[in-house]
Amino acid sequence: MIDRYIYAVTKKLPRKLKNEIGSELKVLIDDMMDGMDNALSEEEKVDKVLRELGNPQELASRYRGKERYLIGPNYFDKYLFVMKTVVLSIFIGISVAWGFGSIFSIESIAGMIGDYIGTLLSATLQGATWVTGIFALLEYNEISVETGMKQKAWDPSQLPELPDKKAIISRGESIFAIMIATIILTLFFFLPEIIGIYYKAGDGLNFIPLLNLEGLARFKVIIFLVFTTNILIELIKIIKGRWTMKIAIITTLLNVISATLSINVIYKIDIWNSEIVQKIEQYTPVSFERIILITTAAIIIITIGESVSALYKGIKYGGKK
Amino acid sequence: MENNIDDLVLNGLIQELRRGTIILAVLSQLKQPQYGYSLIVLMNEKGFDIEANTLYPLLRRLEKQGILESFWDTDGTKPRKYYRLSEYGEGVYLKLCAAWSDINRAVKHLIDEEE
Repeated sequence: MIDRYIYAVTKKLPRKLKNEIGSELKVLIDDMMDGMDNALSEEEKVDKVLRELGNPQELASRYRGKERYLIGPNYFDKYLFVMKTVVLSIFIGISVAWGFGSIFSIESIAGMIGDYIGTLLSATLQGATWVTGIFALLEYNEISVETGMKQKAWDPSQLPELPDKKAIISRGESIFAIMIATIILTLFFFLPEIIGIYYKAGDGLNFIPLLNLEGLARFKVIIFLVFTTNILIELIKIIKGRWTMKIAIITTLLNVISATLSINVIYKIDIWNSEIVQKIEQYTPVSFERIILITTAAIIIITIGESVSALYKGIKYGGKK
Repeated sequence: MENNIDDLVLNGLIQELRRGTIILAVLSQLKQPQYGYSLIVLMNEKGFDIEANTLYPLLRRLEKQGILESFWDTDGTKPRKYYRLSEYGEGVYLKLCAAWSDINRAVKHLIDEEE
């Protein structure tokens, strides 16, 4: 019993303290038992002593000196908020994507539902793990969510400025963007076969897949990166809640990375279904290369637009730094 | 029932009041080396109740802060860790004593004024 108690106290203490505290406790328990009324039996004594020492976990935390948290009180509110946002976006994103899928798919409904639940579970789990992991890391290193730096002694100058109304980042927009990203990501990852061009041919609906599934497989990692980068941008914006120079720079940087990666991918001829390339060239005056060029231009323009707007807001509302 | 809750609140407040004085009380008894259990017995005899699960971690913390120093005595049947005030600790103890009597005086003044 005594050994079990000591084990319970010391098992989560740092290794170098373990032995010393263990032997110290052993002697203490021994001494306490010696100091007791001899009329008591050995077992009664042990029982009494251990009760007096109390819950081993409490004793261990006293030895440790401070409470340990995976996600402590400083981070908990933010954590909860981000977690809700992420889980909700994943849920809606995947549901919508699968909704589309079920309209166009030839698979049986039952099979679709099974797949849907499976995807939903694994994606939610992934999301939750990432969020928890990131926050645990912040907690462990005591990095402030607000400043991104080690927490220092508080000083009035750290008080955030009252935000200009226009400086506040709309949560709704960010959540919407995350959902869109999740929907597209889900489509690319789990239902790439349904992306394509649908057109009327006689009575039925005819369909040409847009993507070459084998070619696509090799770029899944990059595609995943593009979308997770976008989701990350939106998450950072939500957490911060208002435009600052730092947010503007981070957003711009991630935007550029994401754009570069996507342009890289669309230029890989492998990922496109060769049939669709031919069809387009056959029925429209523009060549497929042209279309890719136009898409690239669109991505670049959008990226520049977003970055300029972010930087503008950052400079205007972010103050110095 | 109501009485119980009142007692609970009061007990909590008394515990809180005591907590701050524990360190001073412990340091006062460590001019001579003591091991944990002997210190508990000694203090209980003098009317200051302290529990092992408070004292042991506290001794360790004070040692880490350099206020106490320790040595192991392995001569007897049971190996024991003895603690006593370090040189630095003696200085700290004196300053704590001064702070304590200041607080005492001030609080006494406030209480007496009330009456």
